[in-house]
Amino acid sequence: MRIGARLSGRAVRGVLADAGHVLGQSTAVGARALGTVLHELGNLAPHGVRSVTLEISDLLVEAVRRPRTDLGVTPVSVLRVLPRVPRHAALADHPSSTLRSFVPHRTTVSGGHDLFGTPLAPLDVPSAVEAAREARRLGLEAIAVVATGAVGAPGHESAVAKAVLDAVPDLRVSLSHEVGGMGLLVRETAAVLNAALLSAAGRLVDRCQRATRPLGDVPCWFATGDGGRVSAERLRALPVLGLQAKWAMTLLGAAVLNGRDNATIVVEDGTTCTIGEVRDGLPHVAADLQGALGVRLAAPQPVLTTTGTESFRAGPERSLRGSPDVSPVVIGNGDLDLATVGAASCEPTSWVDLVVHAGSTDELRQQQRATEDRACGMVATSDAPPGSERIVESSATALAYVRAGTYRLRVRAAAGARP
Amino acid sequence: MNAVTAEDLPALAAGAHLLASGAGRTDVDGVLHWLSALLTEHGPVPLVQPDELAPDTACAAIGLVGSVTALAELPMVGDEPLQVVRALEARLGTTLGAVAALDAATANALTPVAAAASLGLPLVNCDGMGRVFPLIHQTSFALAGVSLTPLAAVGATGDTLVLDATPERAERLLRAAVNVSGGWMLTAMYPTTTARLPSAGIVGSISRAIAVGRALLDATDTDDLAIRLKAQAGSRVLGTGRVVELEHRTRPADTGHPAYPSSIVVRSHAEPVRLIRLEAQNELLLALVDGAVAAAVPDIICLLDPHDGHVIDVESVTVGSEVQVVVVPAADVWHTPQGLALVGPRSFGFPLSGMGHQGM
Repeated sequence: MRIGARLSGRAVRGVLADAGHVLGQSTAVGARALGTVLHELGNLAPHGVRSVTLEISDLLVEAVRRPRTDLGVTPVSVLRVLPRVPRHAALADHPSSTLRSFVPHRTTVSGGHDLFGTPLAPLDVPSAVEAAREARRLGLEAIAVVATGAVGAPGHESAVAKAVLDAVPDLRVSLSHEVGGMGLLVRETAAVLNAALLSAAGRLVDRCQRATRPLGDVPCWFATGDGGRVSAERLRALPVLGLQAKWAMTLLGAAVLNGRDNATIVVEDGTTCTIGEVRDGLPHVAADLQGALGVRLAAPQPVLTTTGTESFRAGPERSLRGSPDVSPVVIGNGDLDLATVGAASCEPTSWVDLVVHAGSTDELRQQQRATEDRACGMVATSDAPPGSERIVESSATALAYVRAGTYRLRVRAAAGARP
Repeated sequence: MNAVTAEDLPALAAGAHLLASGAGRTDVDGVLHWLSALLTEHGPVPLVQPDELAPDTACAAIGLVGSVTALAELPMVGDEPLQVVRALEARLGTTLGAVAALDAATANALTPVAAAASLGLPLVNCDGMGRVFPLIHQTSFALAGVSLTPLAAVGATGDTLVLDATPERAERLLRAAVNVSGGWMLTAMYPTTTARLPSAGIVGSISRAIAVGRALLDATDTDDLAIRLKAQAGSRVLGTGRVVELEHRTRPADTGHPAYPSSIVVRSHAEPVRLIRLEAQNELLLALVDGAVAAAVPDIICLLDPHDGHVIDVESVTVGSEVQVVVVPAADVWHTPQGLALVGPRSFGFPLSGMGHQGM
């Protein structure tokens, strides 16, 4: 039996579920709400609880939107590693005003690699260290490091991290390649949000772990935007992974409750319908999408469309155009929070998105298999049942107008038997 | 329209994305942010017809050569437009009085605007492709006999290159430089005078991209979008379905072209169910419906998201993606015998005879 709970504002809603069946629900509001919900649900499990998975994306989004609150984000410094310093202020900055609002200090230093891992310029470590010292002098607690080409060649980001931590040990460092994804700006977004959320996420994770402790030796996991879950320690280090978890868990919960591994899910909420999809038992996700914060993000998140409820009811086939699903799951307002069901049901997942070079189809298959092994390895080290890893999606697409044989590989793996 | 303003940029980017025939990329946010700042600082860029300028006005085509994915990973520094034009001017011994677009598709609809704004020059409302092709000599400029070289190229690494070579040699030399310069270089090529542009250029390309972009941005749903795109660009829908297969190296690769060929197979939803096979190499080149040719290069084959009408790039297609296949006719010049010889199906290795507008 597993507990799934969602923290939103001062409220906590939770369910106790077993193999897709909800055995009990609990809701509480206030400072001790999580402890209350976990206690109530724990009492409904005669043989104990196997795990607790928490969905905290509302709190993380709120932390970004209201930076000056107790759980708000902290301002961060950005260090870009590029062959040359931008000559126009707009190119030195990030296009998103949301991002810019909590980056009071940014620097560009020489370095970086091309798509194939070849260095474009020598790394200027002294300037990186000086930028970190300056950030600390300004009272900043974290720095986001984004090097061009870091997904394929993370060496410059790692070297900067080491030098910065040696020189300014109390500065926290967030590296863009740890989230991954193609595109400097989308990775910068992820790295900045990570750095800005480190303190808030740390406090949240502490709070959640304290509340879970009375249940005994029960692992406390956190739901992620790709429909999976990560350990408390991983969320502490990469809080950006939890930012878009609500809709991933909602889609998953709706599919689980309806016994569907493949379904279009329509969630009616007042005047708005949100439409997503579950494929092979997991939410359909993509990287590079704009999420709740209106900024494009490298971390995967559910592919959603919205339409008016009246418009959907008048002609559902128009809103579902392109979907082969003739009987979508339509969810109205109800007592049950679907995201809690999704949280109680989710398994570890992984997502790898990188560029490789392959001179032949055999070599491409080899690279793809190696990437799939890597993705499965990431699942295996996330408390997945041994041997349960499976590849959910594995795509290679040729990149245009670049050296022949250059492919973008996207691999998604998850634990659990294929539906 | 007689100027490109900051307000026009979203439409220009959207239209250029569609005209990329699957070879674009959505995240040109950084370029748009910079360009918007440039237009705010310098004011709107005058958009002129070729015959509005003195006939002896020197001009050149501006465009990025290389990968838009590489551009997303390695952003522009901001001095490239100025550097590349100055390098070409130094080689020519003359000063440019206007710039045009190499191709008004992908980020290349935006880079000439950036060059015009940075240099304080008018932008001639024309380009050399009316879409995007993979090779720099596949232009209407080349068809009309305008010399591709000398050309200048500048990369984000600061490398500057000036080339004098035959068109085929220039392509190979430039591509080699692009590959070691981070994956893209901004170029200025086809130096000429504005007197030649009415016959050598595809006139109206910039305003067309903006109009197509407005159709994409203003449509209320995909039905509305189909109507608007048909009215604006004469487009037609081949089918809507789910990608069921992605294959690579499905046919011999021409070593002169960047990227290897690949194929996308779409299973249509509507009855009777059809298999739409899309052949790609950089762009989408050929569409076969149940084995019969339904559209081919030089017409522009593109993919839209059937839910919201967003343009989908070949690079972001995965097995399971929902797509609507749409065809937009190419500029008239590409349906002439000379045009088809340069950019028709045979030039991409497909043994098909020339086809008229709207395919077959």
